[in-house]
Amino acid sequence: MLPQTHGKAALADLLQGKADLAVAADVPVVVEVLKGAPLSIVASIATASNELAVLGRIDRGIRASDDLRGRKVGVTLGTSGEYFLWAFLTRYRIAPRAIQFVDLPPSQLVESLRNGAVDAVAAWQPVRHEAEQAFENEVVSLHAPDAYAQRFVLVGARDYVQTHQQELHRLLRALIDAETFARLEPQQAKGMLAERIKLAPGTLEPSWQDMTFEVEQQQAQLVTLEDVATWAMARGYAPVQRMPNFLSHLALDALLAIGPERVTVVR
Amino acid sequence: MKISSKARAAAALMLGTMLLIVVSIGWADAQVRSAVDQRRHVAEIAGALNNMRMVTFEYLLNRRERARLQEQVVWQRLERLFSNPAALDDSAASILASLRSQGETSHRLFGEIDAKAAASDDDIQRRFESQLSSRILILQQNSLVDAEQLIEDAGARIDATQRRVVVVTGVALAVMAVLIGVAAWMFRRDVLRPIARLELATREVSAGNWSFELDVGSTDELGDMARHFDAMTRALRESFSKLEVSNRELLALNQELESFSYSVSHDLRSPLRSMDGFSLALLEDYGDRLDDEARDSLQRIRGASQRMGRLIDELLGLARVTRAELRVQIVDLSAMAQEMALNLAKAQPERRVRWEIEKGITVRGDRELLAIAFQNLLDNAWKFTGKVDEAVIKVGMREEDGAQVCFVSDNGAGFDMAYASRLFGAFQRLHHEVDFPGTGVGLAIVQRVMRRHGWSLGAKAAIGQGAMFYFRPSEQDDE
Repeated sequence: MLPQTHGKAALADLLQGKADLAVAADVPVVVEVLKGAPLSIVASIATASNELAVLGRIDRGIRASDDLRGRKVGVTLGTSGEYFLWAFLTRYRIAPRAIQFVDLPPSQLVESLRNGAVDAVAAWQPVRHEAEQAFENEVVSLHAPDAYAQRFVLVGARDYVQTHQQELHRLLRALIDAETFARLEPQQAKGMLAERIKLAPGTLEPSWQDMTFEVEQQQAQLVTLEDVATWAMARGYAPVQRMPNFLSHLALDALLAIGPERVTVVR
Repeated sequence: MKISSKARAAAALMLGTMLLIVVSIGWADAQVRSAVDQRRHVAEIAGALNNMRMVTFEYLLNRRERARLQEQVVWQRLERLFSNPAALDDSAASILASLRSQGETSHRLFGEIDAKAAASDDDIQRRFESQLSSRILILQQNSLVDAEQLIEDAGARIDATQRRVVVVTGVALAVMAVLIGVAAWMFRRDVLRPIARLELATREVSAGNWSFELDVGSTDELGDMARHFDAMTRALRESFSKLEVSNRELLALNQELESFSYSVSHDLRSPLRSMDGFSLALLEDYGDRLDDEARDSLQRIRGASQRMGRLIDELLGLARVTRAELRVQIVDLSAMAQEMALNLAKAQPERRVRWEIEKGITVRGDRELLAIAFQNLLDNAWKFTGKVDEAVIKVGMREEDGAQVCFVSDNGAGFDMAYASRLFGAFQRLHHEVDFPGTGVGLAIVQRVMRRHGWSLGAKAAIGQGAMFYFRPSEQDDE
């Protein structure tokens, strides 16, 4: 286990050969696939439709989504945070050019909001919770649960995935056991996870609430992957091209072998 | 433990096991019904979701008002289905809750779609609609997957229930088989073996082994019966040994008596012969010197001693009949009677007697003893018809109370039935000797012969109307 702050960084480790597998949100995975990385998604392990939020400073006049027009919004570009911000704007019919995007690494989001470098930030958990705690009533949390359901996937290099089926079977069995354990013993599972990623249990709690842990390969994820690809090409994160066939990037065999009912991808 | 208690316990266990099967079948039936209800209910939801998906995308493509109205109708149907859930387990209920939430979101997002499609130059609206379409598509796909999962869950519940029923029924049947096996083993040990031993005991006892004892230690009903049986054989053993002693004493006494009477009869002959002989010598040697009275006295002495000799002969005959060994064979009574009749007719050719002897009367008996008996019966008939002009003597068979009866009858003097009880006693006479001479031993001999054969002898008569003697030859022809 190689700890990383966010999925994009974990994916970078994978592509540099520092890791065999990585867990990341769908956005960085799609971006890398569009860039030609031979990645295979082994399984989707969690989804969250309300984990991301836009936090706006009230003293800068931000109380609702429309108040973001003309404001500087901090976001880590090329991540699901940026994709969420775009989906958020679309949900509230705000043109992206109406706001100013400020690229910030996850570790600087809260500080930039505090020091006034930005009027708002788009953040995921636990950064979002950290900011909400730090600013208390000075920020407003703006949500768009119907805009984007974030999906976390277990991904690996295609060659590795094809040649390490037995290892993947064992890993998937362990993940399914963990899913069952988290459902049956949530308190104990949360305690173990908080200790592992060195977070206070209170900080982990909001992320946990928003997460649905399920090891699966669903047909619906193809829709999200294609939506994200359309966005990434439009944003210039990847060369404009014909929509790739993401089906070829889904490694279904491992999950089909140990839990075929968890695979609903049409095949 | 008593056999009845064991039987009650076995029956209770058996009934308990059957009850378990009945309960498990009842439970399984309820489970299957519930699962079938769930499957039916979810299939309806899946159908409605499919309809919703159809009309949603028809609307997204062409924005027809008709499709929007249809979406409303389908949503109402879905709401009804969601508000009347079938009995579900926790997992299914959780999936159904997710299904409902997705349905509500999808319906809400549908409501946000504008009646007119976005213009090609309205980028933000176009992206908004695209986002809505994707979200609705994802939600509806997820809903269909969830519905499919629920249907599969219901099928799995039915399968699991059936498997459980098979296991429970199998276990119950195995328990019943074990119970039956144990019951059969106990039945063999506690019932069949003791009964076989009892049967052996009855055979041993009936074969004369009075010392056989069951000596069973069990405290159940058969144990009690065995103890009673042992007590009964002990009592019988004692009774029989007493009886045996009495029999032996009686036999010895009888033999003594017979030997005494034989000796007496035999020893009496000698002085009688002397009396008769010396009386004859007196008459022959000194008859001319005796007067008439003395000669008459001597004649009387001779008559009396000869008569006594005959009596002694009869007595010896009676003793012989009693002691003689039975030699059973087929005897033709008709031929025997025919021969005796001829002899009687030859002895007194002056008498006119009509003989009616039925042909083919055969019995299984001792020829010599039956000849003695028949000779006595025919002698009697001949004698008592002596004063009848048209004498008729009959020998024949007839049916009486479903059995064959052999009879000898005549139309002679007959007798008074009031004295019938004296008829078969030795030296008993119902007529005066002057009228009909005889010793009174004949019928006693006949009766003893019949008794030796195990047959009963009877008589019917009336004074002046003749007499009939009859006996019933049976298969029991041995003493």
